[in-house]
Amino acid sequence: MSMPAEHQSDDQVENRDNQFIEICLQQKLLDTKTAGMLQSSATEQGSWIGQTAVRHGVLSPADIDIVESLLHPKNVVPGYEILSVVGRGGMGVVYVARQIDLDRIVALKTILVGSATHPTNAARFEREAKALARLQHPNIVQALNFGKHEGRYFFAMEFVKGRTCEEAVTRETVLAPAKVWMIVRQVASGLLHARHHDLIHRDIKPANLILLPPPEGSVMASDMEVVKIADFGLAVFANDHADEMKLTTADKIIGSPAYMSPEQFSHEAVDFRSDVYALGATAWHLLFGAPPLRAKSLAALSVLKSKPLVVDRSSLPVQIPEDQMRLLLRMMAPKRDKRPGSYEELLQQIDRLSDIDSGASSHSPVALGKSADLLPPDDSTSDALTQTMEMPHTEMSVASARDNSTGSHSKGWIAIASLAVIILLGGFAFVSNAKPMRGPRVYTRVLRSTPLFDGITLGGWSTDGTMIGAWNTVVAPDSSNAIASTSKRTAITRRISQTGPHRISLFLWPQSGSGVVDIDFALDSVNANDVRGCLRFTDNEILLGHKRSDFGTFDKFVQLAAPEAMHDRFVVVDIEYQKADWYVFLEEKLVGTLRIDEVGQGDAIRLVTPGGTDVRAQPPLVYFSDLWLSELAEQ
Amino acid sequence: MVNRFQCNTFLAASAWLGLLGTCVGCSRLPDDGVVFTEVTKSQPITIEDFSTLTFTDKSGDEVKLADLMTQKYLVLVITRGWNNGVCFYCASQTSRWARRFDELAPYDAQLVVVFPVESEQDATHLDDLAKSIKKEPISNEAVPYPMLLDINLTGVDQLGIRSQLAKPATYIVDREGRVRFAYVGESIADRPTVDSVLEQLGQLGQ
Repeated sequence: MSMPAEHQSDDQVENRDNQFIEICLQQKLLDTKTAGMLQSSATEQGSWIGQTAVRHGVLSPADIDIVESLLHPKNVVPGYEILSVVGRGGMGVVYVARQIDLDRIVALKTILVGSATHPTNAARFEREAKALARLQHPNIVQALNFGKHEGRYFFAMEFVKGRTCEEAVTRETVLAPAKVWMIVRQVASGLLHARHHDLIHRDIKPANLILLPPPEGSVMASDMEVVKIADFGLAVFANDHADEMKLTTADKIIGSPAYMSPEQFSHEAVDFRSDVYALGATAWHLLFGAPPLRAKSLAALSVLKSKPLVVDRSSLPVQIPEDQMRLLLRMMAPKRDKRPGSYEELLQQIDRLSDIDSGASSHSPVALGKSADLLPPDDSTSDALTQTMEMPHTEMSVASARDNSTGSHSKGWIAIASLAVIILLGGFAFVSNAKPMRGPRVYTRVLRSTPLFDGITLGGWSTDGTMIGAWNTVVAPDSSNAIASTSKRTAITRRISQTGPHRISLFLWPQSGSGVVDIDFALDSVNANDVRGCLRFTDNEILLGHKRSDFGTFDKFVQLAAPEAMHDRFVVVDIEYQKADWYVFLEEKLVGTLRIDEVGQGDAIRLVTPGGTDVRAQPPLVYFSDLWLSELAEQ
Repeated sequence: MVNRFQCNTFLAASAWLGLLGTCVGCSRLPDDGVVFTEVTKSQPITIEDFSTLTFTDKSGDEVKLADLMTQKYLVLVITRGWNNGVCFYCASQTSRWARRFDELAPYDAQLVVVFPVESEQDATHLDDLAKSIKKEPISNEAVPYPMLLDINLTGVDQLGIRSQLAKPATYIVDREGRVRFAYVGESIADRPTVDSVLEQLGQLGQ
């Protein structure tokens, strides 16, 4: 495609160089300064700018190929016009392209012949491509065409416009278990089809699973999504000798380390159970927001993967039923013969799981406002392990565990392999997850609402001997009606006649200098000394914890700064009785959770003010308004 | 005491504007420190002309805001909407407006209250809002301003204030349909008082 510079006029050369530079800048292959220097250098030397760029090491041959492809969009693959770059990786570049004869948009993947990632045998590559093209399954991105043209292999594939599971979990932090198992089931179904064609994917991970809305007229529920497995670019035949049939050169290990099976690390022959392992690791990531294992180096990760996963449930941001956890761990068993023995078996086990029949609720267990802030933060360095990569295999394979024995990994190769990959990974840190245990927030749909304050009277409130101080309905500073105490040291109870999932909502307006204001919940109105949850407001802080009496010791679990507006207007509190936890929100943002098995369900809330420390503060110290009880159901 | 209130933009959380005001104390009719954002200067607006906003009256007929505009300014109060009940604070807020409706006249201003509902089936709950407003004594026992439905939260979406239902919001619109002041609650508990709205109208008239 490239015409040598000596056959072009000066204007043509300049124009061509300008276009070259423009695309480099568009694709962020060069910064402006480097681009300027490159252009000057190419002009001085009178050489083709691409050649100059490679010689100076500012662009790789793969970069040049992208630029050339975009400069000559109809010349890359006959019958296709390249429109834009979708993505690139070690295995090639994926473009959005137009198939000219049918005028349809496709994804076009190209792999440069001669690159380290291309197959050593073109015939083998073609054979595998034909096999991929034979795959026809709703959960697999459809291969459309394959060929070789002017030094490139190309695959034309169905263009799927959706979001990847990686994007979904990045946005939502974690996905609801029902949704995750819906995804796993569809992927297993697609992989079963691939297996019937003797193909193994080898790179199952969230980034290779695309989520789409159900097709028009589908019987699928509207909140369900179709999953399509993308990128069979690393696929191998299951029934051939791996060393002969790999798409990659034989001295490399390829895959995405965070999801790769232990046998992929040790360069053993892989079978479908490697994909089962990767699918389990993917499910883990979607359920809990991060891959199951993290380590400082690939070698350390390999060692961790060679042992059964030890789960500290208290460190998980979401709790899942025991049978779901069992299946997850089984899918990720270090020894492949401990994993499900077939996809049919895996599908049966998924279908038997408890608590996943309620549809694929798309809400994450924690879904309001900044609630996700309390979940484990993403480890910014973890990206390295979730990308498909090639790793020098020579050293790692010296003592690889071909007999599946977990004890056969020697310290020697670990050390050598660490040297090989530690620079690649940078300072990848093992993150200790010390976040509080929390069950899912599954009930968010309001079925019915009942006011707990009629705006006029204390009807429904316990004005009996349990009440402390004088309570009344008053006019709040904003002229609204509120319930408040005209004493300093006060307490009043409101019984809650709701045993199922529910939300208690109330507005409160602590006055400046009011001191402590407690909203007690999960209160046992019969046994007032039983432990109860408590959301405490002080002049400067919001605290969540529990206590056993109105004015007794308070055990604090969460401490936050008070919102700026707290003394200036009403703020809203929501307390939800969820599956395993009480969820507490202030101003529609999560404050924290308390486990129901620790504080109980209770049957009442209680408003408590021990009295302000500021003697100048006069009652009412706090106003309460807009109190509601809402019955909740799953979305 | 210094009050800090925040008015968010129509474009969600991208541009919060912290605005300072002063408060003379917590009297029964406080200067609550609410400072409206002068939209024409500081906020991007998703719709150019508020007079084109269309709602539904209790008879089911479409009503364009322009058709109601007879005064120099129109105060548009968007309540939270039907949430399997009428939000008590919405009722309290609109009830206060009913009691103090006459105070708008000196500013050549009128009031329209919008009640968002998620479906046509919920439209009947506009009556529940009216009943809630009338729980407190108001002149002639009649709600003195038009109450309109925003079915399917269409207007709420045009204004960019959806949050489950609507974020409670108050706008002052001039006869040309331009938003002169806007207040979008930081939470469902965050609404301007009648006094602060009247104060803004007073500033507009200066």
